[in-house]
Amino acid sequence: MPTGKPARAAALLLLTAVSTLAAQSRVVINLDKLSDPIALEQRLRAIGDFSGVSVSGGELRQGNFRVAAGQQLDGNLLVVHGDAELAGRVNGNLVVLDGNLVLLPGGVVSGDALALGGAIRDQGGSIQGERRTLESPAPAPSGGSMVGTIVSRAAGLMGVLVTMGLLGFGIVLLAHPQLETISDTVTHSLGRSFVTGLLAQIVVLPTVGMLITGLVLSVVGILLVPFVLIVVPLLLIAFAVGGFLAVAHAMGELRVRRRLAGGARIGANSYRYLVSGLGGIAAVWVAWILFGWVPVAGVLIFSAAFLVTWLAATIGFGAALLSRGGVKPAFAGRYLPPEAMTDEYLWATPQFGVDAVKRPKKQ
Amino acid sequence: MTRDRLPVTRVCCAVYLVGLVAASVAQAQTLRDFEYSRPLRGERELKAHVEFAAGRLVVGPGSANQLYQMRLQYDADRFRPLGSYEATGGQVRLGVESNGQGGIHIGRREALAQTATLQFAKSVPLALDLSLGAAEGELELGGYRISELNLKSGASRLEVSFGSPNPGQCRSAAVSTGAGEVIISDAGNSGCSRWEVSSGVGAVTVGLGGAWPADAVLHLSVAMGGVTMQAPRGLGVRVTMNGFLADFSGRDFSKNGKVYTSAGYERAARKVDVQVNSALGGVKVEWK
Repeated sequence: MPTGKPARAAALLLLTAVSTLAAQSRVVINLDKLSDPIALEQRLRAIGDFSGVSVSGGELRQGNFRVAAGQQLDGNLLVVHGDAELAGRVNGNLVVLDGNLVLLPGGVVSGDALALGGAIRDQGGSIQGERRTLESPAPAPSGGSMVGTIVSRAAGLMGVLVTMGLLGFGIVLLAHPQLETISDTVTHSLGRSFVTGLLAQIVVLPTVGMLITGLVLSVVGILLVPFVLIVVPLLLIAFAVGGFLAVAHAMGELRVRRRLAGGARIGANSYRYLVSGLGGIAAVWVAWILFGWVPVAGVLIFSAAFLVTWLAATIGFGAALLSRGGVKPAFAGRYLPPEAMTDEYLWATPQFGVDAVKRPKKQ
Repeated sequence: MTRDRLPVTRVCCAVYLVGLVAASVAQAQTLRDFEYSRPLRGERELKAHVEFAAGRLVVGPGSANQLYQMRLQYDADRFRPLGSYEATGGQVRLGVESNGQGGIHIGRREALAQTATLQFAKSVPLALDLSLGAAEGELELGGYRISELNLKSGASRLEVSFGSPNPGQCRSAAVSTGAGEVIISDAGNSGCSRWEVSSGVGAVTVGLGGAWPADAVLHLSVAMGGVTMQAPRGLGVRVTMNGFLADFSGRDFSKNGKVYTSAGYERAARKVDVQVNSALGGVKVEWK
């Protein structure tokens, strides 16, 4: 006779197995009411092994089951994992799980019939009560899986990034000084740029409307209306896109300079600034792409990403306006420190609209 | 000296992996088919309550051997089917109800195309009570023995038509819409001598054609929407306008205070009296 810990473990295991079997054998399914097929389906699918399951006032069959012609079954019948073929009569309700109910000529169900994960094929029989079929779930017709949605959104983001990057490279190549001026305006006049951009967004449409109205009222100016309708939107788009890229440039420049200060050996040029800055803005959208499906949090992430992008666009638009499209560095912080402003420098070099200081008249 | 960037890279990779795994584990939304019917067994009346929050609802022509029949395709993640019959009261519940797991959804993918097609027995008097949310519906009720009609909709677009006369007797019909659009065709065939139509900010079109079995009364309550009535020549129409800033337009009407009476009203074989209560809505009558 075994003694000690192994014996106790074996006894415990045996007890668990027996209690599990006993619990399974106690499962009784009631098929008297079939008005809630979802609940019944959930209950049946939760049962892994039907060997210990019984039907209240009826019987359970596993696999294909046939009621022959002339045969009668009294009570409810549950057929699982197989088809039920009826040429005879079932005096009660009939439920089929993961199978079809085939009503052959002469087959009768006196009560209700329910097919879960299958169909009812009437080939000449009859169901005297209610008839329900709940077929297996079908995949959503559009949109595909969650992974598909994520891949689709990621591809969209990548497309926008590549487009903005190419535009930015073009601007660096052809209008580098202007881009740097707008970028410096962003860095040195952030608040002013934001306020300007915000006000511009508010007044841009009324201004354009007034301009067009004025042109129409002036009669002669009517000829200019088509020109304004094309040029003004193009200018606005150019300012908005250029400003946004300048914000990315400024962000990237800040990051690269910090890394350089940390001792990193990397090149410092506008191409790198742009890539780094655009990557920073895109990071917020990546969070939405990955977790946008989460209820509530997804909405918050989307709102945050939208807000960040709008802020960048507004600041950039304002900086582009303040710097007149990168022509005037008035708010770009490019001034000489006061100690550098010697009499000789000021006399010889007018700066930023300040007239050269005149030599004091001799007394 | 270059700073160690490995932890940042690891964190980024971990975030990506967690996102992808979680996304793949999350269940995709699914549509399920549900069919529910009951054979006709000599029932004398049927009271049908239909709830349908979103999707497309069709009430088709009547059935000869089924008391009712529903073919439903529903979003299993957000709704559960309704299908139960109470024999003592002769009442059936059909449609879908929320399973309480809708959450907040963004994007068009979440708006799965639920559809429900209903049929009722033509031979049994039918009291039809429909509660619709953001649905699109086509209800062909011609030939049904409608005893009572009660239709409530939120932001739905509904077309209710009575293609053929009601062989039974209808007590009343009530249609209420919030911000949707409701088009009722050939209301005379409904057999209902009392109609109540209320509209929030939606547009309602009431076709007054069809075979009116008797003179009828139509109560219109309009908040801000517009109501258009399409009346056949020969039908006597009298419109009484009550309300604030309510506007009436229609040709061949004589005005007496707040009452607009169509030409030949007294001689008309069938008359429809329209009582309008409107805040800012407009009522228009078109002759067909």
